[in-house]
Amino acid sequence: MRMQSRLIAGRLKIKVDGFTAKVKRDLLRHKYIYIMLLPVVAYYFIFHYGPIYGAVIAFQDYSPALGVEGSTWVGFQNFTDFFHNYYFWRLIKNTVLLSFYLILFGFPAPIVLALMLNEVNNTRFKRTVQTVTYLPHFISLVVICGFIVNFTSRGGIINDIIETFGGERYNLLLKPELFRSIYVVSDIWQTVGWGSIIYLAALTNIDIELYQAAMIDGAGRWKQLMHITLPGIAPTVIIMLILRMGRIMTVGFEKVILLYLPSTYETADVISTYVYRMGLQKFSYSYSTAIGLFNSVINCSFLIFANYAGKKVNNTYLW
Amino acid sequence: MRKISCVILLVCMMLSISTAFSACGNKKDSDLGQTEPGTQKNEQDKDSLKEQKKPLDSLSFPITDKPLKLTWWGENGAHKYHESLDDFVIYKKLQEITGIDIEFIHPPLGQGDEQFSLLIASGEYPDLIMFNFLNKYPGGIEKAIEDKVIISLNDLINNYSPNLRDYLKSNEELAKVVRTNDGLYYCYPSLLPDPTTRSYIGPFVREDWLEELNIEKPHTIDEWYRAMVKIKESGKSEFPLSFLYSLLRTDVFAGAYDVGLNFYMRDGKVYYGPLQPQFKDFISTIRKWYAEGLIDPDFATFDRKTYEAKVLKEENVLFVDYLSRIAQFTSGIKSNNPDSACELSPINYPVLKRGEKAMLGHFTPAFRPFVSIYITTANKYPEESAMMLDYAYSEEGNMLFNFGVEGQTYNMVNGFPTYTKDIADPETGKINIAGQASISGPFKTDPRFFVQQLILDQQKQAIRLWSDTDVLEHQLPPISPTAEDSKEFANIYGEIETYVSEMILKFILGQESTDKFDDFVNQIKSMGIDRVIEIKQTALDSFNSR
Amino acid sequence: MIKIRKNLGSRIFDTLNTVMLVFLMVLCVYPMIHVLFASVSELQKLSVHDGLMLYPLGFSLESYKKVFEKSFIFTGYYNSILYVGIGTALSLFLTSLGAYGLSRKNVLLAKPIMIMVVFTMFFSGGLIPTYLLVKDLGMVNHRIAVILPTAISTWNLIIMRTNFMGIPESLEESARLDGANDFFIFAKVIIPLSKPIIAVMLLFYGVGRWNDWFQAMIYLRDRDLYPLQLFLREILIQNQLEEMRFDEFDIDSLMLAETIKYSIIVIATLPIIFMYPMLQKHFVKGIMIGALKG
Repeated sequence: MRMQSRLIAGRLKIKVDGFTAKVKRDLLRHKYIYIMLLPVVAYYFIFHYGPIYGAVIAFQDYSPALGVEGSTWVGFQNFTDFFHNYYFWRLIKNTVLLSFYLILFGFPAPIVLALMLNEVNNTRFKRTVQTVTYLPHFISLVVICGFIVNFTSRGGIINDIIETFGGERYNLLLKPELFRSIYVVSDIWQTVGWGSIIYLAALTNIDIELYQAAMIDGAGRWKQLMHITLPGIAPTVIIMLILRMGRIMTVGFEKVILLYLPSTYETADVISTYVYRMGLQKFSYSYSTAIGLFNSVINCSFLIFANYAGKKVNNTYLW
Repeated sequence: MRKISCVILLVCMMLSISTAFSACGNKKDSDLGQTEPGTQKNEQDKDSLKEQKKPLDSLSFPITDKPLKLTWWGENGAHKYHESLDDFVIYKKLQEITGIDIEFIHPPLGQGDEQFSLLIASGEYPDLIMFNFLNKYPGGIEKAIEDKVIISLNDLINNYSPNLRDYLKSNEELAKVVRTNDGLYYCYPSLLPDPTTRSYIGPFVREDWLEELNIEKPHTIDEWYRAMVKIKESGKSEFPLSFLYSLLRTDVFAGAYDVGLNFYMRDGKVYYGPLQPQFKDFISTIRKWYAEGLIDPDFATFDRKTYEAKVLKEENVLFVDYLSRIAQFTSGIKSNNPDSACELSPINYPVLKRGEKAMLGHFTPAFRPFVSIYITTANKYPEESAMMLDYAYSEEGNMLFNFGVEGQTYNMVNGFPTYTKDIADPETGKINIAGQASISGPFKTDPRFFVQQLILDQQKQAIRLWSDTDVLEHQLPPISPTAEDSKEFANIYGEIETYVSEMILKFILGQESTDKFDDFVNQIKSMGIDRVIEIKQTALDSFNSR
Repeated sequence: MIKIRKNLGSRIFDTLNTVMLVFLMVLCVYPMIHVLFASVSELQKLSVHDGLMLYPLGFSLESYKKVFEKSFIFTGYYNSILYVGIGTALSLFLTSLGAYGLSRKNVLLAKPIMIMVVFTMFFSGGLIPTYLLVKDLGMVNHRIAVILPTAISTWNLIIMRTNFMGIPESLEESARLDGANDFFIFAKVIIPLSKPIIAVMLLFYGVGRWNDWFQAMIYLRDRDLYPLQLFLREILIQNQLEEMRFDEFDIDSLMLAETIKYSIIVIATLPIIFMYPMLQKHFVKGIMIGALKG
């Protein structure tokens, strides 16, 4: 391991030398930084770039026994198969819409919670709320989905409430138009507390002097929030948003599979569940890799866009 | 500019390094996985053929005096009793008798598919694999042999497995099922030869309530409807019928309409249920039942726990479920409410007119490819493996695998292998430990095992009633299309399957008007169902000419 | 923070805020309460129960007794603690090194390296090539396979880097003037100033490792090396699996698994839940340091 990474670094040095003296000078000047980065770079080379050639099976009719070298090349066949799929547009639409609602409602939720907690003066209460809200994160999805099915069933608690207000009982999971709401709300329920941790940490980094100065200036709580707190956590928020945008085509399959039914496919069937049904269950490695690659390309373009927007709006960016 | 060139440089380096990695990685692979053991095996084959010119007539034990170890990879279906098959009395005894040491490697429960794909990709195979090669290896079983993952067993069975050989010779129908179209044998099969014990999902009813309400046990679809309406009106139960949606696949109501939810055959011709005109009648019936509140409205979203909680609280009257539930529900209901007069009794698969037989019903195929044993090319002792695996098909082996060890797990009572009291206790489920049927494996399941699982008379009755359908004539045998055809099939049928399952449930729930049924049929046709049926038909024809 | 004067609007806000937080708390505590109550309920009562669980149905520790009879609980605990302990330490070390290096300004190769790092969030070789690589490195069925291939989470690296970037440069400058090199600045300036984010990273990595079963599932064959979560998962999906198999002639009562399922969740979750209140202190300490300076 060590040897390899040194080897890499060695090669890196030689090639760069030939290229430009500036790099060489920089390597010397920041040698300690590069030494510190070395294990990290080596890690990425070995464990991420090592296997990356595997993605070429998207252009093959891959057979595990023959390996990447032995399998037949089929060009873009797997991609066109997916594009010509009867459900292609529906899958794209469902994936993007579900993701969009998750970002629209799910992304701000932990921020709002963090801000609400920030306004609490009683430390003990604050800590209790924090600890309790992050509990659902620890319960396995299998169990959480069991609760959701139960709550939304005809005799479940949500229908009890609906009936109280004069509505009619109906199994909510059977309705395609409700699927996204159920998914998003339960997602917020499970992740809001856990998600707020990062913002709470960011809040602690805001200099307390700023608040004191503002109070002396007679700024109210609203003004403090708008002019100190929000700008203070803005970099974290923007980075998180950029990263989130880069996963727009990524909707986990496990929860959808636990909650959907054939009758709600029309809104619930997303790319990942489709891949699960096609790829994993039927062992078509190439086809599912092709779809994964397609997702990555879309994700990347959203990421680049978000990064660009972040740079423009707040001068916060990933690269 | 310089920055950009830096990036390019870095990416180039990354790629070169990663390909370098991959290259050496793969070379190692092929060395270990394919060439080496493959050639070795072939040599050994020749050698052993010289030694052993005549096929064995019977086995002698132990198979070998030398210490010999075989690795056996496969999911442990009896995981909740013991974490390894090694801990079961059957496999302990098998190792003791044959003198061969087996090392069991079990993937984590539920992750068999992932682990299998890694196993195949790694090229380092265990000696024996218990997995559904037949249906899950990409390209099918012939491809698996061609890819040098597993070996064809014709010679081994012929020369070293006298019991299986003789059994298959005398059971041509079964033999036909466990070989390929070209006559290749590929596994030591898990078999359920007795047809009377293979229908164990079906309808049953709270007989005590029917009597109380003075309703006769329903036979026809109309009688079902009238009975359910009467029960609902009586206020005894808000939703008389309850079942898990997945069990509709057993064709329990469709069979009455001479149609199936999937593919079936009639006089050698393949049909696809949803295309048939009767399918509309079947769907309309279920739809009507649902609309009138005769079926539990949560039936489509139930998990077993929620569904059973309602059953145990005596909220429903008619059920479709496993045979074992008849006994479990009875005792569960009674322990929950000691005053309950609960009496669950099985009924026929419903029909349209009395005296008819349902066309389809639940029926498990005789051959279970997913718990059969396949021998890999890495196995250096194929002859010894063949002899060891053959033991299960002998008379003593049959007793061991189905009943365990005499005096320990069973005793012969009037010539009938009867489980000891401890083993037969349905509460602990220990019967499986001895009996292996729930675990299953490469052996024949004995009907005498099955009979002892039945606790109540109603269950014995159920077996009789539920197997009284025409399913044998209509269920497709385990046919295998060619590698090319099966790929095309997967592509086209994947879409159709999604569409059909979506529409069926929408029709039932009333989310889609039944007027749309013709559009539904046309849509399936336009998605290419004819080609799919053609593939199935070709495969069936070549199966029939095996 | 000390608020000197509170007007009416502010008070209404505080009340509403508290009410909403309490409501949220009730919603969020429910799943855990349900699991806890179900785990101590009597099997028979639980089997007919359906709907909300607001109190235990009877009281029985039978299921816990059954769980502790299973030896895998102890094996799993031991392994999980090992993976969490060593894994988190390694992750934190590598991540903070990377985050430091990549957060420094004027480092020429930092940007291409960053792009290279971010790229891996979107392109991966997939399961099989990764497995083959780990196999070729000889790690399969060794504990290191659970720890090393996932040592750095890119997500966490980015968060930590963003945080390091927010630390005022003036501190670094003055240390540099005193002749300190980057090792010194990293260890003595940056790290002490980053307690809150380190606490967060400890939490993220620790919890992530504790909950991880996938790595172990892929790379480990020997059940003696399994972490607790993999055993837990086997139990959780057991019921589903039986339903899927469908072909199986089963006789066992599913209810047996039902209470055991809940008690194992409790046993597997409690230790990691306590990690948060412990680390939470450090967030607060972060505030205190700030306040003292003020």
